[in-house]
Amino acid sequence: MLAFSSRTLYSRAQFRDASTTPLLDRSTHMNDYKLDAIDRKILTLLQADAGIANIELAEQVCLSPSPCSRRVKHLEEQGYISRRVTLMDPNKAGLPVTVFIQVTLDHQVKRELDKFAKQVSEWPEVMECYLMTGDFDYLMRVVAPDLHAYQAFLDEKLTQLEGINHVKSSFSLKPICYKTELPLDHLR
Amino acid sequence: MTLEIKPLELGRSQLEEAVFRMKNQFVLDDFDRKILRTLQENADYSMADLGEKVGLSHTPCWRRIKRLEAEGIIKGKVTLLDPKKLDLSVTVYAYLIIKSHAEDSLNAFESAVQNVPEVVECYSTSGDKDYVLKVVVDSVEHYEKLLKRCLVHLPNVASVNSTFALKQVKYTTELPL
Repeated sequence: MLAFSSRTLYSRAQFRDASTTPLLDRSTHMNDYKLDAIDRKILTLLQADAGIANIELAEQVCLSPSPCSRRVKHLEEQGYISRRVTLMDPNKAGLPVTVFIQVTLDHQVKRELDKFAKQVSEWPEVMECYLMTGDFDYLMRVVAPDLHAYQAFLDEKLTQLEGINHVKSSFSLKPICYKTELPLDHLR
Repeated sequence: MTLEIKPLELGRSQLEEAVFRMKNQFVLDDFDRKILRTLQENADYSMADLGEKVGLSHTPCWRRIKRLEAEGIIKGKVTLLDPKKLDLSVTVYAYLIIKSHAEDSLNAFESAVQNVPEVVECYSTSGDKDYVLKVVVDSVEHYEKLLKRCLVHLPNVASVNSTFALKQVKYTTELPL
């Protein structure tokens, strides 16, 4: 059954190939699609600035505007591009305090881990949270307007959770770098 | 205005600087916060849609955005990519201890670390470690290479302690307002 359906897809793909542009050829091989040098350049430029005009983007990657916008659309459809967001300056937005919190739970059973993860995801102060290897279970990065607010976060939210064994905070004295740009060199 | 502030700015310590910045902070009202919340979530809104969402007409909405940009509260628009699609499945938090706390040595490290594309975040921290780095790579082997060939050779690095993320619970760029 599976073999049959994939064959159908394939033949349909071939049909589209023969009649239309080479770009469609790429979209048919959904998972095998390899990013080429131009795609990588487009992604690099868009990661740095989502507001770049298509005409300028096209110029920078040496394409004419319509194949360029077609590529961007393709990268969106394929899920490489998640979304475009606006970044704010945390200091100027009144959130100069960044804290890394290492959390250890009483029991590392799935039910407790899931409950913790679900709750943490809902707190807006938590910018990032990872389940970690090593001496503790979770590492969180939390932003706050001041130490009072951070204290309130600990007292009223984090330590109110059941099953928390140990919390260790380490304050960021200075952000050195913060990028949303992912490295793409390994795709070469 | 700038002339009055200038003499004060000379020789301020980092703490004083932070206090100064907080006191002189631009005050956001409810409309600003609504605009910022919406734009943080999605930078693609047209001015018309955005205005409708926050309950402002086109021009005042546009003027507020321009002011938020001019104040530097809005840093810019970026595109977020899906790390899974790009095979970036390994996230590592590396804790660094440095050799010397002399200002020049710190600066040398801090400017060198910015140029490592795999290091997406770096903070100097209080506690027993000096810096924490967040590194994204496609495999553990790649991380091992990066560690050996690059991270331990960054200026002033004494030791690196790596912890691996098993699962991402949350990642957002949206600051709470």
